[in-house]
Amino acid sequence: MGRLKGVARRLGLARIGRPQSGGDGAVRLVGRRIYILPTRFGLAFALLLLVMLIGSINYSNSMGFVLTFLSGGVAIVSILHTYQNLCGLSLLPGRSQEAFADRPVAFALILRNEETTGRTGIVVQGDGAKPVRIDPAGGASTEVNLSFTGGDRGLFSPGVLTLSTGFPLGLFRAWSRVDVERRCVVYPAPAPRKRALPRTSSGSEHGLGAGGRGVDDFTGLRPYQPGDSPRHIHWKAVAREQTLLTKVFGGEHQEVLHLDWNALPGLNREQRLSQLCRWVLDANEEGLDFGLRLPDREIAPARGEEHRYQCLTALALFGR
Amino acid sequence: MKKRRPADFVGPQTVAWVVAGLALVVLPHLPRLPAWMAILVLMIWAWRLALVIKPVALPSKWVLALLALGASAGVVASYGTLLGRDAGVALLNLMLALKLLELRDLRDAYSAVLLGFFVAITHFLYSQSIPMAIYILFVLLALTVVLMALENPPAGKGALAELRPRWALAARLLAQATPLALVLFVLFPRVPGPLWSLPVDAYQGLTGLDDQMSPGRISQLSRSDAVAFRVQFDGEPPGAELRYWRGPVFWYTDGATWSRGLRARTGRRSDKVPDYRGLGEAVNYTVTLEPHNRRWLFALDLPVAIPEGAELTGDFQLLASAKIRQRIRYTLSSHPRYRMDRLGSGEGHRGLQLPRRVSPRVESLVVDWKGSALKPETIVAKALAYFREEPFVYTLSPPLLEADPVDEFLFETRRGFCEHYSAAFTLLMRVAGIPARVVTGYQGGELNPLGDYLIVRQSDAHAWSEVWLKDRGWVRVDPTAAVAPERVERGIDTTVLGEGRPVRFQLASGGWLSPLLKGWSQSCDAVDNLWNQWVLSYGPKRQMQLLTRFGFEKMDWWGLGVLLSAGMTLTLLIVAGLVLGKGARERDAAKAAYERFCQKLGTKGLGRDPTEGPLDYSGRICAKRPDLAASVRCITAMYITLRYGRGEARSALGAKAELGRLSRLVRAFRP
Repeated sequence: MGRLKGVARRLGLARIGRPQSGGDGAVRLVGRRIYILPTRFGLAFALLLLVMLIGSINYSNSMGFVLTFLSGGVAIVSILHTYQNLCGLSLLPGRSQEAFADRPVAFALILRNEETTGRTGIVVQGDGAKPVRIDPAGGASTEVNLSFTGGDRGLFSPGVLTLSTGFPLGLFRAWSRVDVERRCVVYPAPAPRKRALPRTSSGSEHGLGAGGRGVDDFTGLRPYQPGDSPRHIHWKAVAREQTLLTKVFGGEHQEVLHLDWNALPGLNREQRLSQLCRWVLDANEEGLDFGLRLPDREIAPARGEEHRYQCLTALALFGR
Repeated sequence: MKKRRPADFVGPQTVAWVVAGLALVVLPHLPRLPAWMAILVLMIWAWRLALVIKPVALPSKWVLALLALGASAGVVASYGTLLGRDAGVALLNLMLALKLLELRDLRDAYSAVLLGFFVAITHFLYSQSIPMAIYILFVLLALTVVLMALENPPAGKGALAELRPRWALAARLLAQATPLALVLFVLFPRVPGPLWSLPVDAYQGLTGLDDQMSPGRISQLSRSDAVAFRVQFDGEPPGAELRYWRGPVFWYTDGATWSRGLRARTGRRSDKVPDYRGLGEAVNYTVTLEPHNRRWLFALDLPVAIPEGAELTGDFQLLASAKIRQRIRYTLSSHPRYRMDRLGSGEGHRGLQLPRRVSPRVESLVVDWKGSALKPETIVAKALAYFREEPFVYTLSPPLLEADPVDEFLFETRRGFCEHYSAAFTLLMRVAGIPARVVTGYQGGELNPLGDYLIVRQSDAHAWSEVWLKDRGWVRVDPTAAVAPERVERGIDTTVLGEGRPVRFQLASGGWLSPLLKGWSQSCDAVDNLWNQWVLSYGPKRQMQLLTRFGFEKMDWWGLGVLLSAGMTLTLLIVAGLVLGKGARERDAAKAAYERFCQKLGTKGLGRDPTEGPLDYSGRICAKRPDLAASVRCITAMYITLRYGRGEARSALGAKAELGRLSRLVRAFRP
C-alpha cells in the first residue's frame, strides 16, 4: 500500500477528498504565453473600414474620414482590452470528482483571478470537452468543470487546455494554451448489478459470530468511523443530539470478502475488471471488509474510503 | 450548409439590442426616403420588434427574397436607377431592414452591424453639420454597445439591465480611440478625390444660380436660407448699396427665358476684357464658397485681382476652371466704383438683341419715352419712374405668366420678383436702343459681428440690369430698388413667405426677442464657420499648410507615411500604457511591501511558501509565533484589502493613504 501511494504521488494523481496539496504548480498567463489574432468578424470589419475610407476619399468627405478613423481606433484599442482580459489569470487543477469509464469525466479546474478587475467571457476548452464560458470576478477563484467524453479506464490526461476570450467587441481573439499537468484516474465502468457479492462460507449472515451471539445481535456502541455503513448508525443517539455512534454487532468476526480475479472464469479482462469494480463498490456500500486479488498484486482486506480508493485505482491501472 | 451550433443563436434580449441600435442608425434617413419606402422600412422594423416580444418563426428565405426583389424594383421606380447617392442609400436602408428579418444567429447579427456602420457613414453625404456629427458619434457608441452585447450577451432581467456598464466601457473605448483618430485625421495622406467618377446625382443637393433665368427660378432659390458663401473683408466692408456679387450674366432672350448666349455656351472667350478704371479704393476680401455644381465664382463688382486658375469673362464674370463641387476659398480684390470707356467687341450688337416678337404695348411705352427725351439717362429714369409710380408689387410668388411674360407683367399682373423686374427693364432698354444686359448673382449679405464676416445666403439671390451709357460704361441699374428700396438694405425674411403676398424684409431691430434670436443664430453660424474652415475643409492643401507650419516642408507620400506610422505608434504606446498599466502600480507597491514583510519573516525561518495564500500564511505564523499575531494579522488584512479589495468605492486618496500605512507597518515590523 505504501508503494502504491508512492507511485500515485509520483504520477501526480488527483485524489478524491484530498485537499489541494499545491504540489502541482498553477499556470499563470503572462504576455509570452498569450497570442492574439483578429477573428473572422475582425477581418470583415477591416474590410468595411477600407470601403468607408475609399468612400470618404472619393467624396472628399471630412466627417467620413472622422468616422472611419474613430471606428478603426476603437478596433485597435480593443486589442489592448482583449489582451488585458486574459492576462494575469492563473489556471490550477482542481478537486476532480470520481470518474468512471462509462460516464463523462468531469475534470475540475480553478481559474484564479488575482487582479482587482473582473474578467468577462473567458472560454475554457479542452480536446473532447464542451467549451465552458465563465466570468471570473476580481480577486476570486472560480471553479470550472470540463466534461470530457469518450474516456477509457486508466490515467486520463485532459491534454492541453485553451483559454480564450473575444472581449470586448469580438474583433480579436486572445488565447493561451495551458498544460495543467494533472491527470486523474478513471475507474473501469462498473458492471450492472447482476452478480451477487462472493460471500465466503465463514461468517454468513445467519450464522453465529465468534462472540457466541448472532451477527444481528447488538453488542455495543463505538464512535463513528468514516466508512461505517449508515445502516449501523445509532440514529436515536443522533436524534438526542449526541454524536454519531455506530452500533457494533455481535461477533468481532466481520464478514470478509475476497474479490478474486480468478473467480470470474469465462469473462475477458475488461469484463472481469468491470465486475470486480462493481463488487468493490457494493462491498464498500455495505460496510464490509473486502480484499482484492489481481494477477499482479493483492490488496489485503480492509475497510474505508482509502481502501476503496486503492482498490479502484488498482483496477483502473491494471495492465497500464 | 454548415450546421448552426446552438451556442451561436442570438437570444431575444440581444436581438432587441441589435434592433434598437440599428434603428438609431436608420432614423435620420427616414425623412429622406420617399413616403412608401419610409413606411415599408418602419413596418419591417415593427414586425421584427414584434417577433422579439412574441417569438414566432422568422419569414422564410423565399419571402425575404421576394421582398428584396420587390423593394429593388420600387427603388428603381422611384429614382430611375440603382446607382447614385439617393438610390443607393434607399437600397441600403431596405437591405438593412430585410437583414433584420433574417437575424437568427451570430453571423447574421455581425453582418447586420457591418451594414449598420456603412449606413451610418452615408449620413455624411447629406449633411456634415455639427449636430449630425454629434448624432453619428452617439450612433457609433450604440453600435459598439451592440457589438459588446453580441460578444457577451446580457443575461439580466429586462432589456436595460446591463446597459450602463457596457455604455461606460464603450465610452472609455471611444475616449481611448480619440487620440489615434486625431493623429490619423491630421496625418493620413489626403488623396485628392474623386478616385473614380461619381454618379450623376452625387451633387444633386447642391443648389445655386442657374445658367438660365426665367420667371420664378430665382424666387424659388430665394426661399432657401442655406448659406451661399461667406466673405471676410480686409478692413471695412463696403456699404449695403455696393454689395452686388456678380454671377452669370445673361445676354440672349427669347421673350421668357434669358441665357448667356451662344458664345458663352461654347466656352470660348472671344472678347478681351475691356479696360475699366477703378474709382476710389479697392476692397480686399476672401470668399469661402459653398459647392453649387457650377463654375461661377462670386465676386464684388468689379473684380480687379483674380485668384489663380480663375478666368474673367468679357462681361466681368469670374469663372473657375471646373465645376465647384467642394467648398473652396479664394482671395481677391474689387473696385466697387468704376468707369468704362469702350464697349467690348460685339457687345453693342448683343446688348440690343430682341426676341422675335415684342408686344405693341411695350413698343408704344418706349416710344412715349423716346419721344420726350433723347438722353439715355433720362430714359432710364423714366423707366424706373414707371415702376415706382404704377402699382407694382414685389412678391416671391407672383401669378404665372403665359404667353408674353414681359407684356403681362408690365401691364397686367404687375406682381413679380427681381427676375421679372430686371428682365422687363432690360427689354425696355433694348427696345429703346440702349444696350442692356441682365446680371444675376447675390445682393447684400448679413454681417456677423462674432466672426467678423459677411454671410450671403441663397435668399439673397438677385437679378439686376446693366445698361451702357456713353460716358460711364456699363452702369448697374437695379429696378427692384425702385419698387422695394428696403431690399437693397436688408435681406428677405424667409420666415414669412405667403402665397402672393408681398415680400417681408428682415427687421433691423424689434423688441428684445429678435436680437436675442439673431445673436443666437449668429453664434451658431460663427461656430459652423469654424467647423467648416478647420474640420470639413481639411484637405490636401490644408494638410500641406499645417505640416509646413510645423516644419515639415515638401512632404511626399513616403515621408507622410513614415510620419503617420510614427505618430500612430507613439499614440498607441501611450494609450497602451494607460490601459494596461491601470492600477498595476498600486498593486505592485502593495505587493512589494508584502514581499518585504515575508522576507523579514524569512530571515527567521518563517518564510512564505510561494503558493501559500496570505491568509494561510498568516494563520501559520500566528500559530507558531503568537507574540507576532496582532501585527501579522493587521498587515495581512491591509494587504488583502489593498490588493484584492473590489467593489468598494475606494478613492485614489484612500488607497494611497492605506499604502502609506502598510509600508510604515512593514518597516516597523520586527520578527
